[in-house]
Amino acid sequence: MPDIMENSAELKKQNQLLEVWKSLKKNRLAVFGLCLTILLILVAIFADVIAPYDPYSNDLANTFCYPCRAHLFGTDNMGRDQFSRVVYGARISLLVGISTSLFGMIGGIILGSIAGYYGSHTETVIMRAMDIFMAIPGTLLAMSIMAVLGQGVGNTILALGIGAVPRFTRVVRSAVLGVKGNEYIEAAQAIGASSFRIITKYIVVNSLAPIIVQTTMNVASAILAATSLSFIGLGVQPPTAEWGSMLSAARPYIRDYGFLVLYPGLAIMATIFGLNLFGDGLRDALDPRLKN
Amino acid sequence: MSENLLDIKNLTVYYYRDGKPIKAVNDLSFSLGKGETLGLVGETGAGKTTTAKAILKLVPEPQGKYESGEILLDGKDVLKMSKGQLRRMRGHDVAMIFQDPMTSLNPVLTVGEQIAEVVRLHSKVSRAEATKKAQEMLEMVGISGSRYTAYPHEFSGGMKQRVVIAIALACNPRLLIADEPTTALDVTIQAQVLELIKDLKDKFNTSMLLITHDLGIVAEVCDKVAVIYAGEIVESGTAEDIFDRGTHPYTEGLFNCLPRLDSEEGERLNPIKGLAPDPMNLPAGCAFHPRCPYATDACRQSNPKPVEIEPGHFVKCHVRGIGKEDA
Repeated sequence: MPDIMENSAELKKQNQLLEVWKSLKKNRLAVFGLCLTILLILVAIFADVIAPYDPYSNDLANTFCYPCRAHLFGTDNMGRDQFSRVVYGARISLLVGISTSLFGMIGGIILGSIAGYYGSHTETVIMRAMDIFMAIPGTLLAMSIMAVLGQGVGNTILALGIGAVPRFTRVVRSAVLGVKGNEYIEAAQAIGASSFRIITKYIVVNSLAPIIVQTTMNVASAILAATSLSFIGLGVQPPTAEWGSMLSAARPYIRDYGFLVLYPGLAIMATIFGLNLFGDGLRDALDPRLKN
Repeated sequence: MSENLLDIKNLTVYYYRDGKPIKAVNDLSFSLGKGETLGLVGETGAGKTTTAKAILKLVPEPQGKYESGEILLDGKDVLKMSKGQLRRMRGHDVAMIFQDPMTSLNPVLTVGEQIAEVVRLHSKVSRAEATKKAQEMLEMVGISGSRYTAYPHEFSGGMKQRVVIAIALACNPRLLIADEPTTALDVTIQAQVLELIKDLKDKFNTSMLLITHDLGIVAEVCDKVAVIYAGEIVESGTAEDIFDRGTHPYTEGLFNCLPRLDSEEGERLNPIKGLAPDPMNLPAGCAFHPRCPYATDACRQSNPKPVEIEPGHFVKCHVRGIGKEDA
């Protein structure tokens, strides 16, 4: 008997996930987005296997080779295989996108839940500070931070992560305000739970849905921002295979060898498109009000 | 005095909106002995829940403010306790059962975890021991211990309220505050839950403060009754005092509102005229005078003091109190 009961509880837990998956599955665009995203992740993981050439080895006898069977996406001014570089670029982009979002998410959860839970002056100080950050255009903020910290993958993540914190803070705070009014929060206070415990075990876990959606959406915008930063010469530096810096390096040859900007550009577009579709679908699936 | 578990003296709690006070609880005093059950009866908005929350110092601040008074729990003033002392007191010495079981359980934790949580918060036990204790508590409230891993949404309202009761009693509190524990339940479940609370209370010798607007429940469960109107206690005494010899015009009015089985066909109920006063704008003098059929000039001018009309039976009324006192 106990086993059956435990199993049924397990089943119920799975059922909730299953339900989200079911309503996500109905949304064809979201499934398409998910497939694109999974493809991207697979490409990033198996880059060594997929890429036919070393993305960093020059072949000066073979520069500006048009796309052909040997070089699917052609070669650039150094004779490097573009296809291999695009494939390796997926690694950097995903790394930057995901780490930035996690950074923003953690920062946002900490600040947003403190602001939402304690309210009054604490909230005013945190939220106004976030407003100040949001008043600065994202790229400008990232550029200033990069200018101070220097270039590189780690610093790109940090710069974009700091820029992402305010939006997360707002999302988390509004979710927390919604959860805070529930009687179980008061009940938790009445059994003598500490504020830390209430925030972590009661408030944050109950406001996860909007946080997850925001994180997914943020991966896309972070990848875009990171490529923009590399394009203008901050961020990830050449010769690292990164889509933005590839675009930037190909710029002088755009008239004669358009394919050099075409493929990295397409890679960026497909990634953002896939992530946004998936994020939208996830938001709809997690929001019970949109269920029909 | 020392045998009283809880002594509330002249408690006044205001909420503030736009700088104006909302007088939720006004100069309220009562006491509760060990093992006793006190019923706090009153209309919606009379300050019952605020009083209950004040005992745990849970009135939301800064909107709410404890203006004056003392809440002595075993002689220690709750309102002067440090945060740490409050945390140790909540759930351990004083536990609360909330009105709506549908919303008073955390939806993402299993019911067992929630019972085990309070055990682990207040006693140094291992996870396994807490789990065992939680299962015992579930059995005690009539739910199979194997449902430990169930989530609140798998339970019906009555079962959820049982879980809430299990959480409240898990640490053997000395005082149990039940804030309309049966309001959200249907009548058949009400009786079961009340019976359960009563049994467990007797078993653990817990004192109880039962907040309700249902006089039937009071008659069934309570030793003592306090009738609260506009944040003040207008009449208090033993259950017999109030039910058989209720004296205050408001108490009288409450009983006249109840439908009776032995009434003549076609006989109408006799509700109290008017509405409960706006706590932002309480009438001068006795707060009940605009609705009181016996109001005199004295009632309009000054707020009466409680008068002991028989041992332990207090009435706060110019007309009834003084009349009896003179007699």
